Amino acid sequence: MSTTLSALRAVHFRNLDHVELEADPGLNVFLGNNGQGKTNLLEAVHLCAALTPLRPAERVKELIRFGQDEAHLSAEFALELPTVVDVRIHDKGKRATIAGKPVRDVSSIAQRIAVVAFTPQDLDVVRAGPKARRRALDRFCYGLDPTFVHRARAYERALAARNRLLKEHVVDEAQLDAYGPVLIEAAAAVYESRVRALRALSPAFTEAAAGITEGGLAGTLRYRMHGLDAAPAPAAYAGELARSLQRARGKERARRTTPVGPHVDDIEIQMGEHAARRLASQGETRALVLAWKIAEVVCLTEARKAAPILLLDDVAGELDPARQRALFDVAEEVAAQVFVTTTHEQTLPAGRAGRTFVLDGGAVAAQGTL
Amino acid sequence: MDEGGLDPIDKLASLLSRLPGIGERTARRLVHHLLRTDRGLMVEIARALTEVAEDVHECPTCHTLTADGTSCHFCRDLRRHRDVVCVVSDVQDQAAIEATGEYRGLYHVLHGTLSPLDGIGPDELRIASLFARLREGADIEEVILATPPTVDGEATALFLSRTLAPTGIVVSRIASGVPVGGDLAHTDRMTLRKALAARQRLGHATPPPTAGGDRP
Repeated sequence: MSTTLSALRAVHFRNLDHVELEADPGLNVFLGNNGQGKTNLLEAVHLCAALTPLRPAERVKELIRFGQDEAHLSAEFALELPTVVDVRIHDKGKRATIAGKPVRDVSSIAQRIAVVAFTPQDLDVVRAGPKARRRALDRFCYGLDPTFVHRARAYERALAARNRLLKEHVVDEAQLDAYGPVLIEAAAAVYESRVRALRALSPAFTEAAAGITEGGLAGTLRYRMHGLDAAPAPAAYAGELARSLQRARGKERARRTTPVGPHVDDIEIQMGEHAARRLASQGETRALVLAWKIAEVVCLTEARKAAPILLLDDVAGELDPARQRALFDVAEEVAAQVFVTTTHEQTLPAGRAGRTFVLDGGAVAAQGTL
Repeated sequence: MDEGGLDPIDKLASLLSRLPGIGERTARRLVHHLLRTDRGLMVEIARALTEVAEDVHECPTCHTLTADGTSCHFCRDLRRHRDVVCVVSDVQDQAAIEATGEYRGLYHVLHGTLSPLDGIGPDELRIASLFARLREGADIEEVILATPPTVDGEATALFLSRTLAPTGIVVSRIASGVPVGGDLAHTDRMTLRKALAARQRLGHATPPPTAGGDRP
């Protein structure tokens, strides 16, 4: 069984005026020149399936078509029952319902639907700083364990509270002391989820990296606790973090912000013995990101007993035909529904049945079958 | 916002829409519902609102909300155990604990939890009066911290337990763990871990007499 989107409607969303489509349970191709709305449509699918934006650091207002007050997305998913996810976006924020019921937090959607997205920005996972990797791992954590949302929130809140206290003109030591153990406990919960996720992801990543390079790339993933550069056992993390905070006290007072914790930890991507961040070539970077994504698809399918929905933004621009083929093969193997944007149909690996939607000026101008 | 120049219907709708969970559309629907069905109810609501606004105040001792004289009925009730105080963040939590029927001690309502992000520190809560109460009331032997198990609620409990430590008064925290009727396989791992850490020996699980349970 796999999670599939059966129908989508997008009104006044980014440059889309009014788009309605019935999706194929297999492959869906959004075709068109640049700026016609392909990626916006992919983003609409992501927003309905995950209730979070596809691209990071998004201002909500930018999602509304210029000159309109509200964007409205509605998607029907084939779960145990057909389930409608409805998202209304206005300048103050967004409101979502699942099967008519208001959604309080994203865990309620993460319980039902898993998504794996691959966009050109994902190359940052290998090349950029730890933030991109933490974000990628945390997204995977949501899919693997929907309660991770609550853990992440609790940690963010404790961290923000503590940092606010550190920024006061005169630091209130008693309050700071009270938030310390709360922060550490929330941090240990986040860490436990991350390590558990990484334990599932890492072997699948190694296998995928070897697979797409015919054994040429020995890729591994490793958690690095900031300041310790190792990954303690989950039960030992709280103690390590407490010691680490103690050691960094001087630095903390000088910078007026909490210097250690899951918000600065890193997930190291290694090639053989070395960190990929500095050494990976263009081609290796792409192979490693691809391996990460394939590993996510494999692990989520296994953990959830249902394949995630796969969203691929312009993979033809980033991956050569053989590597695209590897990705599509995995999708087919687990029977994942795929949405892909591309400028030319010919760039896609042939063979899989599906539908094409040609976008032009923010509308679907033509539909076809593959 | 100034509602002075509006017509009475708009004014009422505008006022109602300031309440949490009520948007402008709902506010309008409520007003028209009242106009259509029952004007007597409107007068009663108005009267009740005035009464609440004028008569309800914080009890000077425990800070719960009361319309009785000066002190609340909890503080005046001489059958309640006066050696134990349960600290709660708000009146709803106090009502929840009272509804268990298990607790017969006194209360102290903080009216919030610490929340640095909202600018709420110890001075914004009824904490100074809790200390004053403990200093003056020589017979208080235990303080039960029943703030919510959220980030801010836990920090508030820790803050209180540390500042109370020098007084020598027994400080306890309500347990957190597996819900009654819940099932272990679906309990969050961290909750389960806490429940394991706070396990109790069978046969020793009865609370100490000062916890306010039934006493001989």
